[in-house]
Amino acid sequence: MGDDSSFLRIESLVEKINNAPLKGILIAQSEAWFPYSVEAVKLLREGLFVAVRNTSSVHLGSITTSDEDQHYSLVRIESVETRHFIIDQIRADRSDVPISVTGLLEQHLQEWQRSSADPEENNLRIVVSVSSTGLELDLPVAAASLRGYSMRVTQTDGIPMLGEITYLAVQDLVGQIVNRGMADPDQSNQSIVAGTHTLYRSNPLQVLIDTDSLFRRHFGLFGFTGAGKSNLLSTLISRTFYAGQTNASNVVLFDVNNEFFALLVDTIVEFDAHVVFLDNEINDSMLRFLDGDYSARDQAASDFLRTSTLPGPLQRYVNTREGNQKMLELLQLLLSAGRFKRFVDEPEPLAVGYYLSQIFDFSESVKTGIRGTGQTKKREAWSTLIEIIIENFDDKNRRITDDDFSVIYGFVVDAIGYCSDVEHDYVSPIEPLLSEMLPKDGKEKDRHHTDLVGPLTKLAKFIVKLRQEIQAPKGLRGHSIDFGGLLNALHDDKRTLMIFLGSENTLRIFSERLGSSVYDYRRRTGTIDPTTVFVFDEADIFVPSQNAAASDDDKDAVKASRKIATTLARRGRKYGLGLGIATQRIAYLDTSILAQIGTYFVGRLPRLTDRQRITEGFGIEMASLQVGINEVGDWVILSHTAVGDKGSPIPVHFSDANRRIFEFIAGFTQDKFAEFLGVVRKTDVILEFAEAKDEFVSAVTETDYLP
Amino acid sequence: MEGEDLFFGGGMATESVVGQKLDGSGGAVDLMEIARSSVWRIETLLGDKTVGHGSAFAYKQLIDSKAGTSKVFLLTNLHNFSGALKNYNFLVELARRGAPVEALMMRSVVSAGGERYEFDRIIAAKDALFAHNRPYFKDFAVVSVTIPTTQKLRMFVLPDNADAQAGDSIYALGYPRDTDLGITEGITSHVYGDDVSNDTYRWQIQHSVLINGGNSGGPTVNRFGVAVGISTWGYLNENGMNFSVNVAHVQSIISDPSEVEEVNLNAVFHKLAMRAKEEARYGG
Repeated sequence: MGDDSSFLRIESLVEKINNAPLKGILIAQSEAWFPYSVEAVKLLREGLFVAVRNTSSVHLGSITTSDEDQHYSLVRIESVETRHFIIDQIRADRSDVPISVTGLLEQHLQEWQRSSADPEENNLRIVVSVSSTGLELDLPVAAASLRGYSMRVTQTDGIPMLGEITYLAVQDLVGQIVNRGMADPDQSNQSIVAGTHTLYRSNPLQVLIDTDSLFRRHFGLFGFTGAGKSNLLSTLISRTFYAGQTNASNVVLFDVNNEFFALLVDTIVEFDAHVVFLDNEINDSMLRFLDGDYSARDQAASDFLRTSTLPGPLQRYVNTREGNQKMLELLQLLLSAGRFKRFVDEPEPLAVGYYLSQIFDFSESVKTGIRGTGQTKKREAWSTLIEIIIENFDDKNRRITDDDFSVIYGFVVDAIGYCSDVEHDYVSPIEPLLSEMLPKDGKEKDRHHTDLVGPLTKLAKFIVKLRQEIQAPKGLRGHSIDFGGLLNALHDDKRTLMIFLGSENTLRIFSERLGSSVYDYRRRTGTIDPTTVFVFDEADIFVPSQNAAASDDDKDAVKASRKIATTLARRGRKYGLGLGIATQRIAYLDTSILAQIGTYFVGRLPRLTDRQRITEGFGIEMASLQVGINEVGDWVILSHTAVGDKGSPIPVHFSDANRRIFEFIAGFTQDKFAEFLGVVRKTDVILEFAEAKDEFVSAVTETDYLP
Repeated sequence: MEGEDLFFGGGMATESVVGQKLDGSGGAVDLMEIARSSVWRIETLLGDKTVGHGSAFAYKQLIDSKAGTSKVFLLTNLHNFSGALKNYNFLVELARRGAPVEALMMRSVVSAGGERYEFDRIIAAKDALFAHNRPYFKDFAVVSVTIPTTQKLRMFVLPDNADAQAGDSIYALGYPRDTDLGITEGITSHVYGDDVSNDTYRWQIQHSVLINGGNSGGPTVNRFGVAVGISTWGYLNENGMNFSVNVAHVQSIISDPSEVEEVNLNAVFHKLAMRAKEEARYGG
């Protein structure tokens, strides 16, 4: 037998009162009794865990006690009831004998105030009903050091033994249960801290969730009005983006109420994000800006802010002068940086990245033909030139414009000019760069610049040919994105957030188009990464119950969105595609979809019918559905896959997204986002020049030009 | 003499010369004859290298016999000059890598008869140069250069409203790519006015004349030598869908000096370079 230091005793893992473990007794498979005390009543709460020795502790052929490995079934407290034996009898008898309440008070008050240090009162007990979790606490006694663990929480097939002592698990042990098998969040995984266990508010117990499982196996948010569903969604998405690996998990969100821009503004600023307008139901100023009139930017920011839905606390902040200014500054920055786009429906892909990749591929093939003396230097110079072209474009998913082609072509022409050995008076901007890589002075054998004329000329011709392939008018302008751009953004090496705005029917129809395109693409190419979740806020609009009233116009649109939601729910997982739904109107939701959802976030649900739908969908007892929900921000997580304690309700408090957003906006300064500033400066040159036009422009005074 | 004015005042003799209509019988040959005299190549130079080029056509010549020079006024596309703004991002990138962009000097020239004449100002529609979403009907500029000759130029005539008609034969003259002066022929499909559902087509003449890069700014003329349009844009790979800015409408704009402004191109180019250098420094 090992010494105490090599194995743990159960007493070190259970709650104590006055340094003595709180002990009860298992009197039935689903019931334990504890001696009554005020302290015990305070400790024993629904949702906590009780440990009781199970049959795995017993080896067949011998019955022993503490010298064997100890296995304790971990059972969940479903209800706690304090019972008084005599009063129970009175209640049960219901005889006509008059009962004096004052007499009862005088007689039993002291009993009810009994503390654990007092002698036990025979009339009182705490009756705790429990349910199995399928887990046990394994405390090895012999050879613990050889086992490699001194305690672990694991699956069990042992049965709790009647008459055995029951203990109340401490917070650390509860943490091991709820986070069993979950990796601590770091860069190598996709685990995040969802929130804190609601039963441990003073000393928070973090509850972890695996976002990859959460998304791939689908999730649903169900809560009554005011439960904080949008707030929770914001917290989940934001934490997912700020955690873990850079290329994991895209989020596509169909935002019916235009409320998620504000709730995710920090994520939009700091990550690859696109706020896409699907139809023309937008402010005129925004329309003009997106069509290329940069002078409309500030008005577009102001109008967009005015028409966005902001949560109450944030709206109050934005109503102040400081808050309004900060928010407008942010919006202007995001507009200039191209975060807002119009969706354009073009038959062929027009994304910048598409053409840059073609230029790159062509240039690589040309590079192989660059040979001879100084081959390494020449090829390096070639690669640097191509790199400059590609790096010039920040947002490779936006639609290419005619100006972009002119820029690329002009650059190549400049390079040809240098390499062609033409003498001139002025210094071309590209000369210093090229002269460093390919100097023109020095010995003949060391001068290689002319060898690049041929390859550069080929490249110039290729660029012209590429441009001619575009079946669109010259002068493409503004901020837009087409299907090709969207697909690229969802399959590149950056995690991407897309928020789509539009009317209900537009969103319904588009969700089907986009979802099907992504699904078909992945199925065709066998792509399963990165995980992409399609989130339908107000999901009852997209997947309404079959008998929900709908106009004829709506019916086709609903058919489309229902179709894609069903496809994603049933078959999306194979290709790394997930479904997320959020609704407060469960009664209007097609609940057949609930069966496909792997993780439920359940908020306050006052209506019985709503609770029934959820419990039927997930498959648990209704009684435990609202345990631990006491404040705004408290939700119950039910998950078969994404948490440690699978299949059991975990009450979690989520931090308030309003606070996070408020702190971000209040602390925002342009200097923090230098890369943004770079983008802003580049795209605002035109605006700046237009505003400074007095430096270049004057009234026409001589009219001799008149015909 | 028709189309000419004589003005004497203050000891200066200035003769104003404009184009004359043809009878239409000579076809492309006559038109080329006029074009050789008055359709010029317009270029943006960086050093001696051409970084952008298009076409322009003279519509008025003021001959100063005493000085022995002529002031020539040409029409062209405004987008022939806004190329510098498009190159801004590259200027920043190059400045970041140490290139002395402050030495950048772009020059604008027209070439005629082997000679180059530099200019640094243009007249354009108000607020058109820096507009991102400039409508096509504002894509024009008036250029003036002084040439050392008093020889009268043969020029195309500016139109009246009725001169552009659907069904007319129409010709585009200019310098496509890096070729010499060329002419292409087609037919006018539609003449759009103000009443259009798609703003893109406002005051545009749609025709089937093939135009290429380099034709921009050149005249689109009918068989009577009337320059009804400025060759401007088209749908690539869509045969028969090319567009010229309606010159009759351009005239209505430039006739009102309050509707136009004078732009100092050198100031624009210089500020662009300095701005790029500043941004490169900021971005570290």
